Amino acid sequence: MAKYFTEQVTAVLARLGDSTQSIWTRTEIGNYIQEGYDDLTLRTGMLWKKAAPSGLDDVASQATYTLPTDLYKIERITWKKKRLIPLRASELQREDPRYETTTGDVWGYIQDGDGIGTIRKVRIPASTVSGNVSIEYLYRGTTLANATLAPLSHEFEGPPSASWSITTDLPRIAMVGFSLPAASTAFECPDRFVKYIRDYACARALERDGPGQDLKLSAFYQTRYDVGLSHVLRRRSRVQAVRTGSFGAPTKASAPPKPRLPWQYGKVVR
Amino acid sequence: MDFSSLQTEVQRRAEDSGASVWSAVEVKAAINDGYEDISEHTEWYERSATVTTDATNNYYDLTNSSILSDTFLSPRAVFNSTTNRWLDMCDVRELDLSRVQWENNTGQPQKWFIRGLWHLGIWPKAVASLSFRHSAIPAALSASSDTPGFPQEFHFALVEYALADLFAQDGEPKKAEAHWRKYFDLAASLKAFVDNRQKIDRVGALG
Repeated sequence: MAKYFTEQVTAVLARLGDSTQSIWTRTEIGNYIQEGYDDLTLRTGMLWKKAAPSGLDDVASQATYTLPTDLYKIERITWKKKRLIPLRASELQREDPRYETTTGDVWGYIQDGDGIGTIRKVRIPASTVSGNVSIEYLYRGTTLANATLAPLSHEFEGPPSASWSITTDLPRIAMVGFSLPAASTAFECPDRFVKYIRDYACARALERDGPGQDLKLSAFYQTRYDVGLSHVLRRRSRVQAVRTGSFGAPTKASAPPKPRLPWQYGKVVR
Repeated sequence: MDFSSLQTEVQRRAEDSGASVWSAVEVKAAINDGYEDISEHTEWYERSATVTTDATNNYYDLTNSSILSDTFLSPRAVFNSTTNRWLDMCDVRELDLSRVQWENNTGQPQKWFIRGLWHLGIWPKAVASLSFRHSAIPAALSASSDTPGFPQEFHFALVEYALADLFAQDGEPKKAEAHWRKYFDLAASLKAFVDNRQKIDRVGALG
């Protein structure tokens, strides 16, 4: 079951013993939670997705494209289901000095030289086509927002009686109330990771100067957050643990051997 | 120790048998937090789930409620019930090197890989029923008679975790830290137990 931002703000305030917000406001705690969410996401790369954003679709004669704004790191880009080779500008300059003008089938991309958040396709697409490009990347979670309440409208069928009667008056009057809250943002990570973010928020709240500061307790929560962070980082390496090989075990596919001369031509043989 | 006994032990050690400082709800939540944490740290809970694949997708989100919800921790093995073969684990780079447009290939799955932390990838793609062996987070303790699934020698880890959490909420960092360290030691012992449970029988001898 997903966990939501608003309830976590409430939970952190309850944990700090300040549900009345006399020391920390909901806004301040919300900022710490957002900070913890961003920190956990950035340092662990836990959020991954595969997408085909329209901003990367081929446009004839257009070389550079803007990456999704939530992107941290690219893991793989494909063009017509073929992986594009990630290159550096310096490599490309040696290989094809005219890469900034050559058009044709896209076979690679570079990220340096055109600014953060921009990629340059190699070669430049010759025609405008959508759906050719797919990108797999680590991303930043959605910005967390509070739930909002909105009042319901109410109507009276007639003035209420002087003395209320449940059987006669209540059916004639619609109750005034509030709508269900518009959903607060859900965390996109598994529920168990949310408590690490909660610990981060507690550490920051207890660390800041002013009433309520408790550096020892802050250090305790920071330790819990650091341990949680190590759990997530270990998880990334753990998912690859099954591939550990052994002598004699089937090996992964490798490229064919490079060609070489049958004799040491040009070298002195003693 | 069952759930009820764990709660009683936490309250006894916190000198709050009358539940005047922490309510039963808070104690239960702290114990279940610890259960979740130790399960993630040690991966003692191993299970199998069925993943039904189709002929159009290479990737499956394992946190999807129709597959595993978000209890998935790490994979162990994948078995194709349609072909009766174990799938080989591979890396996306291997597929990119050996099969340029592998995402277009169709056929009974032969290889699997993980993308990110909870996306299962298969190659090639087809309608199949895969038995996915993995470690997971167990269901939270709820009934009084519920018992943690790992050996009872390590049940006190949940008590220590709960005490650390409750003392932290009460603004007592020294006590919280002391109990946290005990919890950590017990969790490390459980992890060593889980990782080395076959060690004795597999260790040979010279001669």
